[in-house]
Amino acid sequence: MRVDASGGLVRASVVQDHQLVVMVRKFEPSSRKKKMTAKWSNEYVVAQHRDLQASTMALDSSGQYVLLAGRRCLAIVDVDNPSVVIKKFPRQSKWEVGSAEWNPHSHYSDLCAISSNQRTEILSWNSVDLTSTHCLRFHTRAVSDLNWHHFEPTLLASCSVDTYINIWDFRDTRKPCVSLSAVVGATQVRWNRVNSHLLATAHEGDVRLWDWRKGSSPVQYIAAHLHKIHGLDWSAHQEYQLATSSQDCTVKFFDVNNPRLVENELRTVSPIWRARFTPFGEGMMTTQLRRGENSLLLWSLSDLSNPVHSFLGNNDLVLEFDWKSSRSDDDDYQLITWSKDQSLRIWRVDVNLQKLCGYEPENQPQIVYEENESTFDISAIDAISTKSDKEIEVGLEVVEETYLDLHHSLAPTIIVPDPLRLAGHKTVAASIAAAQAVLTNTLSPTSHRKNISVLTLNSNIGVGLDVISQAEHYSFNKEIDQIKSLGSIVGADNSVSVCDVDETQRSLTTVIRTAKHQIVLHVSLPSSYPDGAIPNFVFGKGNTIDTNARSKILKVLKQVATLSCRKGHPSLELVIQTLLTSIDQLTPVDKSETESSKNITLSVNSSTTGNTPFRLPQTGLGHPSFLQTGGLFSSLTHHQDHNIPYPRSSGARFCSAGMLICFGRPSYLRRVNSKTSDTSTTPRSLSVNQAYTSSLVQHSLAASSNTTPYGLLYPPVAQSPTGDPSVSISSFYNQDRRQKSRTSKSKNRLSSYSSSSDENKKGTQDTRQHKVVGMVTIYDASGLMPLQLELAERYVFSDVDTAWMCNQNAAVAAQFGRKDLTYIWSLGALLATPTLTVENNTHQDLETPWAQNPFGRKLLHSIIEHYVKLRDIQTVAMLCCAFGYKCDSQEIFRRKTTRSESGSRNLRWGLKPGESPYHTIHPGDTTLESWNVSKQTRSNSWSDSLAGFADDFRPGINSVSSGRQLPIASIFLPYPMSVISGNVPDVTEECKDLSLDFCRNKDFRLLDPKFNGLFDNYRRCYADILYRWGLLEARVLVLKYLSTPVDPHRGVDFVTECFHCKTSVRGPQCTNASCKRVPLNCVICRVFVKGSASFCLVCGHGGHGKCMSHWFAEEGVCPTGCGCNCLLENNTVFSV
Amino acid sequence: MVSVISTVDTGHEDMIHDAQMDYYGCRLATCSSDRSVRIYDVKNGTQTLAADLRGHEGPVWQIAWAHPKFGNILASCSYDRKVIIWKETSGQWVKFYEYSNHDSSVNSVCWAPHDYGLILACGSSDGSISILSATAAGGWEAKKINNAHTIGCNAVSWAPAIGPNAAFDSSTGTRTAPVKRFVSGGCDNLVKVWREDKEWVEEAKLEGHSDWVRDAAWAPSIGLSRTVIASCSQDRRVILWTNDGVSSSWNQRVLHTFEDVVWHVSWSVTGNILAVSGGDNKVSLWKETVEGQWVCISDVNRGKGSTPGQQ
Repeated sequence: MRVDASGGLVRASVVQDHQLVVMVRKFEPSSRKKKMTAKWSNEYVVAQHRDLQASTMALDSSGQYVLLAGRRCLAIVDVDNPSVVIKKFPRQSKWEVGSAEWNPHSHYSDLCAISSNQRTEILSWNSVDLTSTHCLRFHTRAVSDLNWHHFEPTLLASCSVDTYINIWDFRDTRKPCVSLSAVVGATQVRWNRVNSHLLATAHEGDVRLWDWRKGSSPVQYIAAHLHKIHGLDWSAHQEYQLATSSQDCTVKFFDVNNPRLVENELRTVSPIWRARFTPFGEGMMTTQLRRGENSLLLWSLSDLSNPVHSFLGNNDLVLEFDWKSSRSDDDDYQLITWSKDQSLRIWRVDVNLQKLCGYEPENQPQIVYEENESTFDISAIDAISTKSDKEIEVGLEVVEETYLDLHHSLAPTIIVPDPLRLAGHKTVAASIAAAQAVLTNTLSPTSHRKNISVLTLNSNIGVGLDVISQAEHYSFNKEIDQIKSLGSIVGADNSVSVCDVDETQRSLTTVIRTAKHQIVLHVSLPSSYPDGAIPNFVFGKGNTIDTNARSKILKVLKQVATLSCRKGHPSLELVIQTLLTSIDQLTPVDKSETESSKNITLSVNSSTTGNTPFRLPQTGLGHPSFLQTGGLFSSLTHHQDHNIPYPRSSGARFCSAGMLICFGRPSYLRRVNSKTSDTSTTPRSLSVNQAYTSSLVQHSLAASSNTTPYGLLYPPVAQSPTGDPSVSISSFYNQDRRQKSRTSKSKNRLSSYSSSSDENKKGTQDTRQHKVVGMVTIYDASGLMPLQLELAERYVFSDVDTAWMCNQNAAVAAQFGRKDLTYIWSLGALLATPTLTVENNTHQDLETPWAQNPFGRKLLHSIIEHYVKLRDIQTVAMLCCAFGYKCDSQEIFRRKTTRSESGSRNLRWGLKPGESPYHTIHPGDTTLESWNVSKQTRSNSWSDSLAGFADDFRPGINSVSSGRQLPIASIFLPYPMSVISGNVPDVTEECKDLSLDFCRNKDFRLLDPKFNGLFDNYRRCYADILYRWGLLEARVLVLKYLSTPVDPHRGVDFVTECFHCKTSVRGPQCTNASCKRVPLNCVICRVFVKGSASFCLVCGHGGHGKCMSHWFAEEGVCPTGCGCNCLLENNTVFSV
Repeated sequence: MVSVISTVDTGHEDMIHDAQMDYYGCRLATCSSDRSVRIYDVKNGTQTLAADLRGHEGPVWQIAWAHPKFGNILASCSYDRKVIIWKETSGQWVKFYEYSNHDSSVNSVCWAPHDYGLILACGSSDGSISILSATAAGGWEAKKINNAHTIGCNAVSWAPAIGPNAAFDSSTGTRTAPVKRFVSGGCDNLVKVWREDKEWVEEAKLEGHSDWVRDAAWAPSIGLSRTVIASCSQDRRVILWTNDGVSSSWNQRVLHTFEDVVWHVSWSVTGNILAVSGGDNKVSLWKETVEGQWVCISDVNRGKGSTPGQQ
C-alpha cells in the first residue's frame, strides 16, 4: 500500500476475481473545508468487465440496471453493485449492437430496445431473465440509432443509413407506423422532449426536423456543420433548442425556428462524440472522440468558453454515458459512463457541481460550522489499511472492516457505527461513506496525528494506494490558460509566458518580463491544491531581482495564495497578477548582485503542506468574500481597468467659505503599522486589491444575469447594497489587525457564501456598519481664514463720505477685537479726510494732487498689498470699495442732488471718492449725444445727471484747467471714456485725443486706475464670499464698485411698450424725450407700475405684482377680459 | 481655531470616498462604495437626510456641486464608468443627465467656474478627459480629450475664472474673453495644464512626481496674476506649482513628503491654506506665511505665531 503523504485522494485496489474494484475517497482536509471538499470529491466506482466486450450501454428508467450490449453478449449490471454482472446472455450474432435504449416510461421500464444491423429488437427484463419480445425489421441497411418517444410509451424511432427513419408502435411489429424518407442516410434520431410530434435526425453535417404527422418531407433543414454530426440532443425544457455535436470539434446550439443562426457554440480541441443537456440546471456534457481525450467535460450554458468541470479517470474513449437521477433524499446525480476499455464508472455529481451549471436547489441545506482557530489545515487521509496480505483476499468485507479498525485506532472513544455498517452492505462506496462520516466527526488534532502514523505504517505494506487528483486536474489546465491569457493584457512593456507545463507533476514555469525585470518562477502544485495547500514557488535562473526582493515577493505571493486556497480557489492567476504589480515597485539591482544571487533558489513551503499543520498568517483578511470569486473574475482582462487608482478612504475638503469637511476610515480600520514609511503600504491601484474588485463583481453575478458589453468583466452591479463590511477596501486595512470577532464573521461568510441572505444577521451588521463607516465631520475652519463673517455683516458702505465709512468700519473692527483692522480703518479715514482733497489743496499745490503724496496713494496701495499677502480679501476688497467709485445711475442721481444741495464745496475737483466724476459709466447709456442734448433739460434721467455733472463741475474744471489749460470738453470726456470707448458709437477723433489727454491726469485718485482690473478682481472675490455667506445685500453693494462693466445681459429680454406714447422701452422710464413717463400701467388699479411687475407672456397684460397675485389667486383668466387663460397659457410657455 | 460644527452620520454602508458642502455650506453631499450618493441638510449642528441618490452601479468616487445660479445640481462619478448629473427640481432629486462615454472608471469630476456656464470636466481611468457643457437648448455637449494621460486620469480641477486674463484690458478698451483652463493629474506621473483654444490644448506638462498623481487642485485666485496648483501623488509628496502669470514656466516646490501616499489636496477659499489628506488617514493643514513659506498649522504648536496680525 502506498500512501501519498500529501493527502488528497487515495485509491485502494483490491483484486477480486478478474474484476477490479476501485474505490476512491477523498477525505475532508479539515472540518473547515467541508464545503469545498464536497465540491471536488466526485467519488466514483469503477467496475471493469473486460469479458463483456460491450459496445454500448443503457441505463434503465429506474436507474437500477445497466444494460451492457455487445456482439458476444448482453449483460445486466446493478448500478449499486456494478462489479457484479447480474445476468449475462450470450448472443450469437456477427453484428455489433449499434445502440440500446430502455423505455423511459415506468410501466414499460422493463423494455429495452437494441439495434443490430438491420434489425431492432425489443427485450424485456424481469429482474431475472432477459427475453426478446419484439423484433422490428424494415430497414434495409444497418440501423444507426434509435430513440423511444418521450410521451408515447409504445413509440420508437429508428434511423438507418438506408435513408429511412421509421417510427414504430411496437404493438404492430410488421411495419412502422410512419416511415420518413430522407435522401441521405441518418446517423442520429432524437425525439423532441417537449413537442411530441417533432423529431430531429442527423445526416452527415445536416439536421432535419420532422413532424411525424406530416411525413412526406422535413419541416426544417439545418445546415449545422461541415463535418459529420455525431450527436443530437434536445433541450428538456426549451422546445426549440437543439444541440449538435460534430467531428469539427464544436457543439452548436440552434433555435430550430431560426436554423441559419447558431445561437451558441462550444469549442473543444477534439471531435465531440456526444453532447447532451444535463438533467439539472443549464449544462451540457460532452465526450470526445480522440484517443487520449477520455475525460467527460461538463459545461455551463451560461459560459461556453471553458468547461466548468471535467470528469477525468477514464482510460479509453467514453462510448456512452447516462444520468442516474437523484434519489428522493438528496439532490445528487450520478453519472454512469461506459468506456471502450470495458469499464463502468459511476461518478457523483453533487449539488455544488450542479450549481456550476446554474442549478438552483430549492432547499439549500444550511451548513453550520464553527470556525476553529486551532484547526489544522491538513488533508486528512482516509485509507484502507489491511492487516495482512491474507485478508486482502477476503474482499470487500475486509476492506470495510479495516475501515472500522482504522477508526478504532484513531479515536477509541467513538461509538461503533450502527448495525447496518457492521452487517455489511451492498457496496463498498456506501460503507466508505459511512465510515467517512464517523471519521469526520471524530477527527481531532490528536487523532489526526495517529492517522498519519497509521498511514505511514501502511505505506510499508505496499498495497497499491494511488493518489488521484482528478478533481484538480482540470483546474490546472484552466489556470494555465488564465495565466496565458494574462500575457496579452498586461501592457506593452510586460509579458507573461508559461513554459514547462507538466500536467502530471502539476508544475509550470512562468517567465515574466517587464521593462526593468525578468522573473522566472517555478510553480508546482501540491496534490491537495487548491484545497488547502498552496502552490510552491521557486525562483528559477535568470531573475533580475535580488534575494531581498525575492523573499519579499515570495511572502506576498504566499499570502495571496494562502488566502485564495483557504477558500479552495485556484490562485495562480492572482499570484501572477500580484507578482506583476509587485515587480513594478521594485528598482533594478545591479548586475553583480544578480550574479551572486543566481545560484540561490528559494524553495518555499515544501509540498508536504499536507502533513504540516500550517496556520494561516494572521493577516486578518479572513473576510468572507475575499477572493471568493477566484478564477471567475479577472479584473485584468481589461487593461484600462488595471489602473483605477486605489479609492480614497479619507479626505478633507474646504467647502463654502470657511468649512472643512473631513471623513476617514473608522478607527477599527486604521492601520496599526502606519508608521512604516514604505511606499507599498497603501496600494496605488484598485486592482492590487483583488478582493475589492472581485467582491464588486460578486454581487453582480449573484444579483443579475443581464449581459452588458463588458460581460463578466463588468456586469451590472446589484442595486441592493450589501451590508457586508468585507465587500470593501476596508478589507485591505484589516490585514494589519487580528480579527477579534472571527467566529461570528465566519458564520456570516458562510451564509453569504451560500447566497442565502440571512436577514437577521444583515440587520445587525448594518447597524454596526452604520456607526462605523459613515461619519463625516464638518469643521468650522473660519478661524483659520483671514475672513470674518461678523465683520462682513456689519461693515458699512458709503460712497458719499469715505471718511465716515472708514470710521464706522473701524468701530466695527474694534467691536470684534480686531485692533489691526481698527488701525487700518482709522488710517483710511485719515486718508479720506475731506481737508486733504483738492479743494483744500488748490491754494497750496495744484500740481500735486493728494493722491500723489507719499501718504496718499502709495500708503493705500501698500496697505492693500499687505493684506493681499495675508489673503485677507475681506479687508482688501473693503478698502477697494471705500476708495473706489461707484457706477450706478441712482447713485449718481443722488450724488447730483446732494451736490446741488451742498453747494460750492463740491464744485472743485472732488477727490473725495464718492463725489468724483471719475466713475465708470454704463456704456450703453453714454453717448456723446445724450451728454449734449440733455444739457438743457434736467430730469431724473441718467444722461441728464451726467449733464448735471457738467454744470456742476464747470467751475471746478475752470479752476483746475487754469493751470493745465485744458479745454472744457476735455473735462467732459474724462478718463472714464477710456473705459467705455469701445462702446461709444460716435466719438469723434477729437474727443479721443482729449480723453487720452485727460488720462494723464488720472493721478488724482487714491486707487491707481491702472490697477482697476485687479481691484475689481478683489471685489469680485469678496462678493463671491459674501454670496456664500448669504449676505446678498453686502454683495450687491460691493459689486456696485466694479469699474468694469458687467457682462451685457444675454438672455430673454422683455421690452415694454409705453402706455402713453407706444414707444418700446427697456427700462423703468419711457425713453421718448417727449413722454418720459413710467411706461407701465397696472391693468387692475390703473396706476403706473414701479417695482415688482407681473405680466402674462401670452396676452401681454399685467401690472403690479401684488395686484396680479391677488387676482390670480382666485381667477385664471386675464383681468382685462381679453379671454386669455393666462395661468394655463404661461404654464405651457414655461414648460417648453 | 478650528471647531467642530457638526458630525454627520451619513449612514453609508461602506467607505465614503468624498464629502462636500454646497456653495452656501448648507448641504452636505457624500458618496460611497455602497453605490449611493447622499445629501444632507445641515443646520445648527443637526442634519436631515434630503436625498439618497441611487443610480450608479459601482462605487461612487467623487461628487461636485455646481454653482447655485444653475439650480441645485450635483455631479457624481463612479467605477461604473458613468457620470451622473443630478438636479433638484421642486424638492425632488432626479437624474438630470447621464454620461457614459468613458471606457473605464471615472475618477474625478469638477465644475468649471460659473462664469463660463455649466461645464463639467471628468477624468477617467481610460486616460481621457471629458468636458460636458450644458447647451442653451437644454442638452449637453461633450468634448473629449483622448489620451490626456496615458494610463489614466485621476484628477481634474478648473482654474478660477478670476485670473489675470479675465481682467479688463484698459489699453485696448475691450474685454478679453476669459481663457478656460484646468489642470489634470494622472497615472503617467504628470500634471497637465489644459487651455481652451477652440479645441483643448495641452498648455503645460508639469513633471515632478515619481509616481501616480492622485489629485491636483488649482488654487482659488483672489485676483493676483500668480497662479498656484497643488498636486499630490502616490510618491507621498505634495508639490506646489506656481506660475507668475506672465511666462509659461512653472516653478516647482515640494511642500512636504508625507508618511503615506497622498490622496487629496484642497484649497481654502482664499487660497492660502491647503488641506492634505492621504492613506494614513490623517489630515494636515498647510498655510502660507507672509514671507511665502508654507507651514503646517494643523499642529497647533507649530502653527502659532506664523500668522501675525491674525487670530
